[in-house]
Amino acid sequence: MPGPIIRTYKNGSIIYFENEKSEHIYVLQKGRVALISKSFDGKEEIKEDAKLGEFFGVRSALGRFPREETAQVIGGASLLVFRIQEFEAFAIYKPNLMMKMMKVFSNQLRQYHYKVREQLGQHGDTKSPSFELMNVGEVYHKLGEKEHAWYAYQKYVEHYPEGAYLERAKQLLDLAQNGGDYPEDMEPLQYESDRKPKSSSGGGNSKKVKENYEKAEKLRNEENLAEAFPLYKSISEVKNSGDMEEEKMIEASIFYAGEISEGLDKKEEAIQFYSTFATRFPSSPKLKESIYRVAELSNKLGNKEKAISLYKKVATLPPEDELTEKAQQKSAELEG
Amino acid sequence: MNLELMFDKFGRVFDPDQIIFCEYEPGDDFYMILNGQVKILKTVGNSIKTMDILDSGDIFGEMSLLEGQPRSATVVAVTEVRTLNFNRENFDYLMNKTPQIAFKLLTLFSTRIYDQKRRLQILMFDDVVGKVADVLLMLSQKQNAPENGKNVVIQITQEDIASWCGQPLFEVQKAITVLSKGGRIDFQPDKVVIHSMQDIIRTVLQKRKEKK
Repeated sequence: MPGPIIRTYKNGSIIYFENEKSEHIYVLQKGRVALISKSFDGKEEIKEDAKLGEFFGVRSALGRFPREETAQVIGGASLLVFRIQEFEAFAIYKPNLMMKMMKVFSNQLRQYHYKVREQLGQHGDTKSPSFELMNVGEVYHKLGEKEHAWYAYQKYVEHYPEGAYLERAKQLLDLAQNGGDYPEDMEPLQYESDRKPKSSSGGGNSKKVKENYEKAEKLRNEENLAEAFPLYKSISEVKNSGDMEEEKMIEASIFYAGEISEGLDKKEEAIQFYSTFATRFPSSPKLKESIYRVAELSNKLGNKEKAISLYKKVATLPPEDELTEKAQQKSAELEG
Repeated sequence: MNLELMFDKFGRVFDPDQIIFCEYEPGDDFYMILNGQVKILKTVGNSIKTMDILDSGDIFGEMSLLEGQPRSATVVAVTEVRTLNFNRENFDYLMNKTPQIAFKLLTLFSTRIYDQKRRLQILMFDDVVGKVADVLLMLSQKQNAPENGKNVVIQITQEDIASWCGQPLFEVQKAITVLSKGGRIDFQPDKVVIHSMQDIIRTVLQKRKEKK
């Protein structure tokens, strides 16, 4: 297969236009190329430079969709041009390159998912994943597909041992396992937030999270951090609540627990909280900040290598903001 | 790449009609089909709808791998299916030993990003007629309909369109009526016929302009 070719461009040349379809992928070897796209609402023009030695035009070429930006040469440039097959032949021997791209792509995907969810939040009708999982089981059961129903119930029991529908799931699981039909007199499945809170068992966990969170927030506002901390900490230990609202509270609690520990100079403990936060809530808008804080704390604890690698990670995370710049500076400083 | 050798390490076999994973189940792994067929299903109200059929060489479940989100669909084996199953732990191994699969994932992610971007564009449209027209445009582009195409058929229900638009069904039905009355589309119970692609493109561009 022929390799990539080198092309030189004069000042002002357009390498490709937005909305054009093409299967070329480029690497800037020399000179300057501006990538010009529109902001999401179409109101602003975003201009950034292609970096020397880095690929551009990859996503649209691989995904075979129209270009998302216009690439224009400023003052002349020389580029390596790959066709998709040539790029594949090149990339498969460079696992690090692919890994790097995969991380960038997965971050971009995460950002889009987050925005989509945000938009859907206003109109969307998805309830909690635990409710939906239970519902899928019941739909299969009603359709007479007992094995599939059994699978869903079993997954419910496995993942939500403290879930609001546990008893219901167990009852239906038994039935499905023994080939029983969906009971005609079964009370319809109701979303937990529609149900009246039970006084004794069931939903107790959920009530506790909300109660504790409200108390903790009040204490934090009064700057009584010493008393707020154990409450945030106890919320942070709740696993897989399955309820969107509660998950939000857990997310915030872990972050605050990190902040309070950091304020009290308990560096190791703060690192624990922020790391848990980053692993558990990778779609959170505070993801970048949490990793940055772990980098700062690791640096203070003298763990230079870990700090450098984390600063570098922060620098690759969208959006490009103040933290990106700070992280780039710090990693450069540490690398001396 | 010898996928059969990989099978010893990462292989999983499913019987016909066996569920591989279920919609909304938490997960952190993905599958590549070596042989056989699977179907992708989604719960719609009180029924189960087949969204797609995948066969050898196809990848599924990749979203949960990196996103840690619950599964967005149920996957059931149609025939006996032999798969390779990868999770976060053996991901590095995959990158190094079977870069072809990794490259395929990269391509898949590119497509997914674009899909999400289009989805977001549709959701951010203020005008419901614009949203519906854009959904139809996006779906026709996905099936590679030419820009000057005539009578392009898209298999879709009103409920699906409503879910793409993130709008209540009645709002979407009103917009469909507007588009049908204008002679731009013909709506049947489970499909839409776009009379002229150029008309739909014009409608979307015009609505986008109005927005600005």
